[in-house]
Amino acid sequence: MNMELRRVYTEAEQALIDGFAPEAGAHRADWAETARSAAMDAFRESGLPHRRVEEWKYTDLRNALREAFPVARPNGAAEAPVNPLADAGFHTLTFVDGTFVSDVPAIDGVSFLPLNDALNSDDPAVKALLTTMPARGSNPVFDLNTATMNFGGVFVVEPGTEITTPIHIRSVVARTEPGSYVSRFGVIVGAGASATLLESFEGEVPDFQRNAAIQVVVGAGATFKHLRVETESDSAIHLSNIVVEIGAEANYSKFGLATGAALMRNDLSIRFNGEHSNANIDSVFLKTGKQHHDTTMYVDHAVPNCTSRELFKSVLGGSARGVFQGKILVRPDAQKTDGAMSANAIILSDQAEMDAKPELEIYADDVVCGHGATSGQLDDELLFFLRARGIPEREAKALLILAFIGEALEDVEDEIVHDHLMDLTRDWIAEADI
Amino acid sequence: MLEIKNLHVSVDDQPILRGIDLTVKAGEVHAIMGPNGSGKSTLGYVLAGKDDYDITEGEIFYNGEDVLEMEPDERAAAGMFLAFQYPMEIPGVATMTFLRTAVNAQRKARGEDELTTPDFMRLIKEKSTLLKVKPDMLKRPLNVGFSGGEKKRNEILQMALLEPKLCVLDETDSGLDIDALRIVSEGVNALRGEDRAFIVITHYQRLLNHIVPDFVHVLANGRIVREGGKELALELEEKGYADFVGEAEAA
Repeated sequence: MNMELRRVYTEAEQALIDGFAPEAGAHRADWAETARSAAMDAFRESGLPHRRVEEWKYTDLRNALREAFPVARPNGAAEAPVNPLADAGFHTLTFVDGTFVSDVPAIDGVSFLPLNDALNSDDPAVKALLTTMPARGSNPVFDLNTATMNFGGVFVVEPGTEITTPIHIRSVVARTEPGSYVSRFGVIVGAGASATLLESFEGEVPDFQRNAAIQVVVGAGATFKHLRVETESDSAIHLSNIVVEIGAEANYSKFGLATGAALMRNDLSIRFNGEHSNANIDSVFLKTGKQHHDTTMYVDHAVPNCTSRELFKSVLGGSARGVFQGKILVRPDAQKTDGAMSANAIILSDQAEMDAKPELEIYADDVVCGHGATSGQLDDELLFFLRARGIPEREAKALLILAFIGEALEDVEDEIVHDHLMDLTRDWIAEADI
Repeated sequence: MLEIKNLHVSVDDQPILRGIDLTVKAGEVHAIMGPNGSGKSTLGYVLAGKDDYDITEGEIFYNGEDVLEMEPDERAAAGMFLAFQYPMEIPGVATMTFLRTAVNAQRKARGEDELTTPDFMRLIKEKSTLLKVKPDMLKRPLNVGFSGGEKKRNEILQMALLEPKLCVLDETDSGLDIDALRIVSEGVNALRGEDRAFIVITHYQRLLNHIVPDFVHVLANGRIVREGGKELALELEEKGYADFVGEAEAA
């Protein structure tokens, strides 16, 4: 007897699968086409992840994503809203609704390949970068990104060059019709080079869906500073993957601040491929109303003698929900690993909730690893002390919130970016339901 | 300036203050003395507006205004100040930021212009020199890693900056060595004046050698059981509180 098992897709899943149509006029190298088909096959197999999938236990995407908006095609008509960092003098690339609207800045030692060119490239380094999977293996959001990405590009920083001015990628959504925006960026930081990249995700319009992925290879002896700022409207859905491969004697640091989106899920994958390297991850999430924020991180200490520090600070008001799932894997050979991860949350209301699941999976015997998770309210005694000195309640709370996230913010060395982040935080506190 | 009438205060249904009457006029220094657990610190907290206390009876007026209707920050802006027995440590908030926020919040509440950075820096330099507070202390997070004496000096520095009209000092002498006690007392004495009043809460008489009170009130079991001039403090030093504790329990 033959039983054919047919998978039943949700409306959104079906729309996502239907969106995978070969594009007319798109030229891709064989490797890119193969990766794209394989990713779509994987998505057809998995569908959207749901709460019975361990890594998605707290973020049931199948349930949350009722409707999948059509992937927005570049239309060339968009205009960029004012850049809050216009005066900073950064090398800025602006994408509005997936359309590249600025010029490619001329930076000595850095080349930029627009996504279509990158996908048509024979350069083995570009191919290797864009086909690298997250350390834990792919996930349905990453598969969808691979299958439907339609804007972005790859930066190549030449070995030994020091890029002091940050590169700023603005990904702005301005179109009011519901759409989804699928971006893929890549950065190859050559051996001994250093660079700073700021990604900002903007979009005040309601109801859009974003699937943003970035892959980074930090070469031997290189330093890469990665800043991400997300301030999208509170009805947006933001899904992202950050996939980082770190070579020997290299440094990767990441700072993230997120205040927007109805649902945000960040999958962060860090893998050490060479010894004597460092990764320093700081993230701040300020969420209120009905916002849902999920950070799922995986740090793979595949080689000995590397250090990783992860600090996640959440401030939750209204009936916001924060999720942190972090895992540090120390493989059998990775002796002398030094890893420390902490996730701290301040809960500002009775309805807000934080779920933290830090994990260590250690197979080497000579390591120093630790993790901690705390969540609590603002300290009433401290609030009273501040108020007794004449500081009104909201301002007192603001001081304590800034103090709480300060530990993460202080790692942002660029003064302009630091001040910008402080301003965003103050604005959030001024308007939030706290 | 301050009028406390028949004040009854409970914590978790446990009466702590059981009918306090106290009138403080501008220019006066009142000492509140008493054994541990007599309700001295509760009185300080209630005046400052801490919300863990139930006011079950009585009234407090400050310059004719109903204090119990005012938020803690409104009381501060109106000129009331509590120097804490245990000043709070706030990691992540630089002392200077805190001081400036407090000064400007009070000015704003009173409808005055906020101080500019140079004006504030001048003011802080003047006051911190007076209290022998070193500039590096101001850069550190508020009270974090401060010694007991530094914390108390920081409290008095706040008082000097904010220039309140009614200053309540809660056990400011506790944890101070002789030198720190002298610096703190000099800071307080420098602020004494015709338009300013002090309530000095203390267990020991020694602080009152430095800050000489006009009136001494003995608090025991939530009531004022004896009142007198500065000589009463000396008598207490000699005899202790044993008599009053018994007296209050019998009452």
